[in-house]
Parts: sequence; C-alpha cells; structure tokens
Amino acid sequence: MRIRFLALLLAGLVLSGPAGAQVRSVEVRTPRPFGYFLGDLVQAEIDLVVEPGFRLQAASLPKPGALTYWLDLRDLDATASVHGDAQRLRLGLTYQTFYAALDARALEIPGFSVTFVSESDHGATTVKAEVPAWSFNVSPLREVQPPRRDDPRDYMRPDGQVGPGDPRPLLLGAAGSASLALLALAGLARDRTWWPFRARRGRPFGRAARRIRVLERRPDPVLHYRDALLALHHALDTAGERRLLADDLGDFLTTHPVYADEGPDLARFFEASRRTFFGPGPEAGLGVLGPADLAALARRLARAERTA
Amino acid sequence: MTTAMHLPERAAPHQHADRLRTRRTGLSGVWRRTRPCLLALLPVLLLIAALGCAYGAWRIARDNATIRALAAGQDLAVPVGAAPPLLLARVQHLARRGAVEAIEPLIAALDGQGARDRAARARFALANAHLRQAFDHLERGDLDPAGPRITLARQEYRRALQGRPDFWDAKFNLDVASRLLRDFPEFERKSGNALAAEPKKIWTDIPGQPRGEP
Repeated sequence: MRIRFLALLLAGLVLSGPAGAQVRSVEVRTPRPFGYFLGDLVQAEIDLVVEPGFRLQAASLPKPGALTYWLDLRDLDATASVHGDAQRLRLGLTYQTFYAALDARALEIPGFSVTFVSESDHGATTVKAEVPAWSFNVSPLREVQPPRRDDPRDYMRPDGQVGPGDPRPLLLGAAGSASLALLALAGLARDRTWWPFRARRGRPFGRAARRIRVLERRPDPVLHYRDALLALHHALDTAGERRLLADDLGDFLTTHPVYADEGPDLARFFEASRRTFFGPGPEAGLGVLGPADLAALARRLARAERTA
Repeated sequence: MTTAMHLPERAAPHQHADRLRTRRTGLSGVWRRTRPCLLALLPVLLLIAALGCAYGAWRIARDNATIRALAAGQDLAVPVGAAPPLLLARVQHLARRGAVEAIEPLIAALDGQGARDRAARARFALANAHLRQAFDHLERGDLDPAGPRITLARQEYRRALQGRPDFWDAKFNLDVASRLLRDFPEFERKSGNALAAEPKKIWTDIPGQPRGEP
C-alpha cells in the first residue's frame, strides 16, 4: 500500500454562506509534495464529502488539457460512494509539470470548484465545493551554470538510434508451425491411407477405393470390371473378418453400423457380382452397378470407414 | 434384387439400435464424425501460420537492412505505411539532415499506428532538429528566426513528454531549450498551449548579446 502524505487538509468548512453546512470536508492528498522534475507526473487525490442527496454536476469538473503554460491536467477520474450518512466523491487527478526550474522552488497548482446539485420538489439546490490551491516542489535537472562548451549543440542529448528488430521469435514460430504442419500432414496421410501409409491395416475400403479408381481410369473399364468387383469383395471380407456373401450383408451391417447407409448400394453390388461371376458376364453386372457407381460406392465406404 | 428388396426392412431395427447407441455416446459420435474434417483442416491452418510467421520475419529482416542503411546516411524513401521502427529510423535520418518539414507526416503515421513510444522518440528527434536550427541562427546572429524555432522545439519536447513522461533525454533537452527562451511564470495565463513566439525575450537571455541599441 502506498504511503500517502496528508498534504493539505482543509477541515471541512467553507465558512461563508449556507454552503458550509452542505459541504462537510475537502481533503487533498498527494504521494509527495517535493522532488519533481520537468515532465514528471504529479498525482493528487481529492476527497469531497457532501450532504446526502447531492449529486456531482459533471460539467463542473476541470477538463483534461493544458491548464497553464507549464502544467497539463492529463487525467481525471471521479468515483462517488456513500461515506457514513454522507456522499463522498473521490477525484483522482494526474497533472504533468513542464516547469524548467533553475533552482528548487514551490509551484502552486490552482484550485477549482466542484458543483453539486440536489433536486427536490421545491426545485434544485446547488452547492459549490472549493478545492484549494496546493503546492509542490520542483527541482532543476542541471546546474545553473553548466560547464562552458564551444558548440552549444553539445549541451543537447543526442537524437538516439533505432535498434534493429529481432526476427528470431517469428522464425522460431515459423519453424515450429511448419514442423507441426508436417506432423499434421502425416496424420492426415495416415487417416486417408496416402503414401507412405498405403499398406496400413484397418483401412480396407480406403485401399479398395484407390484400386477401383485406378481401374476405372483405364481405357476400357469393362475389361477391369471383374478386378474392381474383386477389390471391393476383398475389402468387405477384410472388414467383416470372414468371407462375405450376399446373405451375410445384413449381419455385417448390424455389426458395422457405420456402413448402414450404404446397405442398398451394397446389395446392388452383390447382385452385380453374382451376375458377373455366376451369370451372363460383366455386361449384365454393369447394368446393375456401373463402374462409376462402383467407384463412388467404394469412396463412400472409405469415408464411412474413416469415421469409424 | 431380392436381397435389395429385403434389406431396408432388415436394416431398420439395426438403424434404430444404432441411433440409440449414438445418442448414448453423443460426444464421441460427434468426435468420430468431425475427426476426418479436423485432420484435413489442421495442416492447412498450421501451414498458413507458418507462412505468416515467415513473412513477418522476412519483413523484419528487410526493415533491419533499411534501418542500417538509413543510420549509415543513405537517403532511402520510406512509405507512410511502413512499420514503426522503420518510420522512426527515417525520422531520425531526416532530423539529422534538418529536413523538419518531411517529418510531420511520418509522426502522424506513427500516431495513427498507435506506436506511442516511438512517436515520442520521433518528436524528440524533430525537436532536436528544430533546436539545432535555432542554434545555427543564433550563431549567425539571426535572432528573429531563432525564437520561433526554439518555441517549436519546446512544443515538440513537451509533446514527446506527454507521450512518454519518463523520457529523460527529452526532459534534459527541454530544459536546455527552456533556458534559451525563458518563460516567466504567468499564472494568470489560461491558454497554456499558446506558446506564442516572443523573440524579444531572447535578448534578455543570451549572455553577451548586444542590446540592439545604438
């Protein structure tokens, strides 16, 4: 907790007029009233205690900005609170002094008045609380008579130089993100059975889909239709962990619910397979499930397999 | 085809059971469905981040080269939208050459980018340039243009200190400039910012100057 000097205490009473009873006390506190150089910030805290029912008229507060040629009011914040049976207003003021002192001397920060209003049925009553002027001591930065120099520019502090920026954190970030991206890419490749994870276990439909796509792109897909059907059969056998025939499809879909949506198309696949291998030949199978449909089915099965 | 006709009926209870199961494990179901998408998105996002970082590092390295060249005295143009360190380096370069008119827009750009500290340092460099020009005038004996220059320098030092109250070099040089053009405390004066040029005051403050009377 900051130790605050009680710099000034105006014990309460603005003696003249009826306002005296309504403004109970005005108190100015500063962290220290001495030891300021030009450019320093001067803090002050002012407590105003007024009778209950009075409200601050915000327009009566001093405005931040230049007060005199050597003094700025930089910041002002007002907080109202209830203090016993009275209203307390606390003003936090931040001044900045620009007084270029030759010797240590006291400067006075001008006082101001704050207006409070109380509105009742009979009309509004206003009361002015006078914040007194208070003073603080400034100190010089340099001796009165600096050592003599031939060039007056030598008295000045130099302009300064910009240091170079440091790109290393960003480079580190780039390297880190790039390695993580590679890692994530490896994860993606593994998920999709891309190279070098083509032979990974547990993705039979992914391999079948790739094989069928290769076969479908060949000039005469009818010639390779048997191979394509066999590839999907093989994938189904691997996924079902036994040899699957058309009658086993229902059980397979029960034990592997992720493929349930493809049930009708799988049935068409088995029908096409039956006609191709045990019936008239590939042409009859093509009528039930074309090469493009077969490739699409394999792709959908591979996608369903990835969500398993 | 008969199998195909049978299938929907056979599959229906299984789908129902499946739905029950997914409801029970809702969160893991969502995770299973979104995992392929996330796996595809992650490398793309990380690659964008890596490229962004690399671009930022490249920009810093390029700016550093320009800053070094400016410090070495090369007159390189810097766009108003450049990074704050580069703008400040340009301001300091112009201040060393005394080109005060070209500095103002760069300081405005620094203010616009919210670079308070660098804007204060830029104002300090500008004020130093003004003050050096005032010294030039004084050395030649041109007292009339020197006064306004000192006033401008003091204004800029003051603004630099407003932006950065603990700027000790600015405090020191403001003290130097203030002793050249002494303010007499006029507490009644209300308009603090209006530091009107009062060249006559200079006469009283420069030791050894002739009073200007025959």
